[in-house]
Amino acid sequence: MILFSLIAALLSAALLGLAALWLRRASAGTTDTARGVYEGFVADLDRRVAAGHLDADLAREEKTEAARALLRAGEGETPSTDPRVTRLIGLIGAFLIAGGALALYLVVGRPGVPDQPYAQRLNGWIAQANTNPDTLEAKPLAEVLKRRQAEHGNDPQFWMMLGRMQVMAGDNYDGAVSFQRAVKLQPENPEAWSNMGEALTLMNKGESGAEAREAFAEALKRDPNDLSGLFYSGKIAAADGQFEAARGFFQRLLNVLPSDDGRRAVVAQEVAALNQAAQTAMVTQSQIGGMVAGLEARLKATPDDPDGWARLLRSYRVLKNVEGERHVLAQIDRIYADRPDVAKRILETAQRPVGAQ
Amino acid sequence: MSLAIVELGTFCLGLAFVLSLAQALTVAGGAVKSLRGIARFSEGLSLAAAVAAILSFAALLYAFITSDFSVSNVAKHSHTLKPLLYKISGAWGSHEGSMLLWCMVMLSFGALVTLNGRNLPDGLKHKVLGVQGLLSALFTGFTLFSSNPLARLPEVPFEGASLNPMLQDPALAFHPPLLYLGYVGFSVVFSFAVAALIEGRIDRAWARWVRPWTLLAWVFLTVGITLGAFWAYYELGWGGWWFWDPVENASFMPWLAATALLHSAIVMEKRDALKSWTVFLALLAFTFSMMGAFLVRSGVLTSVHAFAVDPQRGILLLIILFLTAGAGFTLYVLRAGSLSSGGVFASVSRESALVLNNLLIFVALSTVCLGTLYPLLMEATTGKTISVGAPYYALSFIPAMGAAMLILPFASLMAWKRGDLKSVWKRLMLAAGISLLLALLGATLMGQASAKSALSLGVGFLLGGWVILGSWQVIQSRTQLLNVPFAEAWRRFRGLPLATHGMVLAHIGLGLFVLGAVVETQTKLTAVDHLAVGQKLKLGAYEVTLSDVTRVAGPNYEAQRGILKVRNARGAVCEATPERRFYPASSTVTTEVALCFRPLNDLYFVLGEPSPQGWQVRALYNPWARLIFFGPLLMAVGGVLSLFDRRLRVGVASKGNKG
Repeated sequence: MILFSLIAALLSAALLGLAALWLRRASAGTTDTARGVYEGFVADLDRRVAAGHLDADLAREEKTEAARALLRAGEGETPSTDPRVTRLIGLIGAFLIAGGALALYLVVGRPGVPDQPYAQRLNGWIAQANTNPDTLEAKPLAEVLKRRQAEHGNDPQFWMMLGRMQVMAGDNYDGAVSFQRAVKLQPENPEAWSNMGEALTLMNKGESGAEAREAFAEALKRDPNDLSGLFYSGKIAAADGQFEAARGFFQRLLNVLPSDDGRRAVVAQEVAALNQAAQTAMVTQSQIGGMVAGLEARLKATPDDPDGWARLLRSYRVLKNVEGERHVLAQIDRIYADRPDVAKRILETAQRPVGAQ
Repeated sequence: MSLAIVELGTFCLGLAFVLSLAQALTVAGGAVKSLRGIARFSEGLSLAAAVAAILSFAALLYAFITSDFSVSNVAKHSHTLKPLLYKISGAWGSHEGSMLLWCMVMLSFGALVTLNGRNLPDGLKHKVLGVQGLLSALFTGFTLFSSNPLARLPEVPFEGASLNPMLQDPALAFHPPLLYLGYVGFSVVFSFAVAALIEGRIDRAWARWVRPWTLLAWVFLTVGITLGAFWAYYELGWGGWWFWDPVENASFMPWLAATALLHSAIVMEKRDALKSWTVFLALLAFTFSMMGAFLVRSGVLTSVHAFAVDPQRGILLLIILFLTAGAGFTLYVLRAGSLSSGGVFASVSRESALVLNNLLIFVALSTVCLGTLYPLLMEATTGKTISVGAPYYALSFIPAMGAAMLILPFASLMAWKRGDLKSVWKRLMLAAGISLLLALLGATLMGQASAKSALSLGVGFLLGGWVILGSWQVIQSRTQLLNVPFAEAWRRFRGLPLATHGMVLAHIGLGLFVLGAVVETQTKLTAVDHLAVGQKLKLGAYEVTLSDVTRVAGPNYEAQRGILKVRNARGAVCEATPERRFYPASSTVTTEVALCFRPLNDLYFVLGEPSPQGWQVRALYNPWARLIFFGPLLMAVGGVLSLFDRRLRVGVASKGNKG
């Protein structure tokens, strides 16, 4: 704080000194400068008159004006205030400015708070990791570990540890990248696969994309009892509407988990949600099935109905009825064989979500 | 020993505020006869205030470069993995940081008045510094008390939230500083106007003093707007470069006002006429700049350009706008009556042509102002939301500017005081004939899509050609290129004042812009399809093949890069590599456009989302797109040339006739 106050005082003094210096310099050379400007201006006028770019009358007028400006500059030098008064005002003003700035700073600033550049904080974390790593949170620990990549680049356990820290810190993308490195170094490790899948799923806001699904499948291929692999495969199957498969994954998970494991409750919740979803899906399925049957009958009677075919195709896709979808596509190809543009439009319409058209 | 550079930055910001306040107060105090001498203090104080603001901004830059997340602004808008350029540009990527930049530029302009104001009469100079000091104090105070960019956080986050990936672009890194140099540059012009109104002395010399400042700000604003348009063109992935977005309009309005001011100041400087109008425009240019700041920062607009800021700070900005513009225009109303015009001119003269040009630019400015503010007023009063888009401007703005462009070559060639329309028309007949021919050719060869397109192209070619050839006629007339030996013409060419070269270049730039804009908008081609690797897409005479999609890792993003091979009948044209980038820090996906630069045209590619049918690829052929950006840059070069004209660097005092 003392150093800060000293620097702040020096800064204020330097800036006020600059102001005072300018005042002295400006007062000293007004006429000389004005004369220089005047002479340059007149020379320019003469050059333009000689080149034929300016009328002589206009040049004369401009010269007269410039001469008046020169005279005015000379007049401006006449001091109008007692220099002692000016000096006193300047001195009081300087103190008021410095004092005002300090008072303002005390209101809006955070005296005594030092800078915290990232490099400095990282050094602190490294020191803490060497002496007392348990006290470090996941994010700083991950950052410290990242600095040791060069030494441990080929150690799969290093990447597993880093990945876990990154996921714990919420850096799911970085976590996925680290687990990917672990997978590359140790592809037979099921945990590396399932951790990668989990990080990718978390990164995708809980939805398992193609890469995550593949990772879980790889994990279960290497260890059919891999806990994360079973849990997420169950969730994926449930999301796909494959309720029996999902139930199977969750059941296998319950078989593996010890009876006193707290995670059993989470699995039980998933199973309950699954049962609920299965029931709802059954009701919806039968309603859509009825509508689809009606639509199919209508299209049989009047086949030239592009919107109807688009709706039917979309319905089969919603129902995940691959056979039905294939059958409808064949019908569209047949009916619109001579009108490919209509067939293309039907396929495009069927791609759009319900209500988008 | 721990440093406290950030805290010193806060101290310097406070110091800049107090110094600028003192700068204004010393000038006010100098009005008292016995204290006249203290007005001189404002000169040194302006320098000290500028240095304080520069130091404060340097502290902010330091915080961004070192990723000091104890600074709230850095924590919200930076990240350790960001490349250095974007760490630096993050300093002005937020409302708070950009306000500090605004203050620094404003205070620096005040210092420049001191450093370059040796040819100004002391009275006027000190009043200018006083007004500039007051403006600076208002904005610095606003920044310090409501938008402190160096405010600290009690809990320091481990990592920053990163800057919006769309803003991580070289063009946008430089766009805001240039724009602010333009916006804030008009504050000096405003200060000159208010100072002259207080002095009650507005004459030819005043116009000559104001012109370089207007030119300087106008040049910066021109380049800033062009960079912004170029950024929108290739970063947003729509292929458009101007959307009549209210925030774009907010930067365009001061530009239009300044363009009118540059022309009216010429009349005032030469003929001692249009005093009242010139002062009005000088006040208007900065008022529109402040209005732009309010629109972007108050939260009334939702735009890619707008800072999401709470309305409370918007109200503070509105108060500043009303206080400053209100005071300026009130003074103007009180003094307008005494601003009698000296020079008399005939109805056919360069003065008249420039007056007409000014009126038309002002009409164009009014249409933009109406189109920008009407939807906001409508929503505020009735709750209804409407959008005013390109069709409105096509019917209002373009005709007004088109008419101004028709007059432009006449104004450039007409004599002062009393012109001879017949002789000017004689000199322009060839330009008119060639322009008509170009219009016919353009409409028939390029405008085959529709009658409307043909008409637009015809009008565009006519206006663009007319302005370019008409401007060239100025050089021809002054050098007699075709009438005297080349050596003599060359001697005359070299003898022309820089301002003439600047004017001609700027007008040619305008013509080129019009040609580019009309050809690009009327004849561009678009093709969109889903392509699997190896599949092709047809774009006019070009065939585009998606040859591969690869993964690449950037410094703070991961991208999927499409490799597009472009061919035409003559063979391979280029290889374009558009990207879809994922920025993990903000979980944002952006598209990175790939451009194949042809001499005048652009082939423009966007890699969209993948789908079961393949990757969505959007390809655009933008003919003459280069001129859209080259034209305004040429205008800016013209402005720079004019700025270096000796006549603008020396001041001439008035003839003594007050008002």
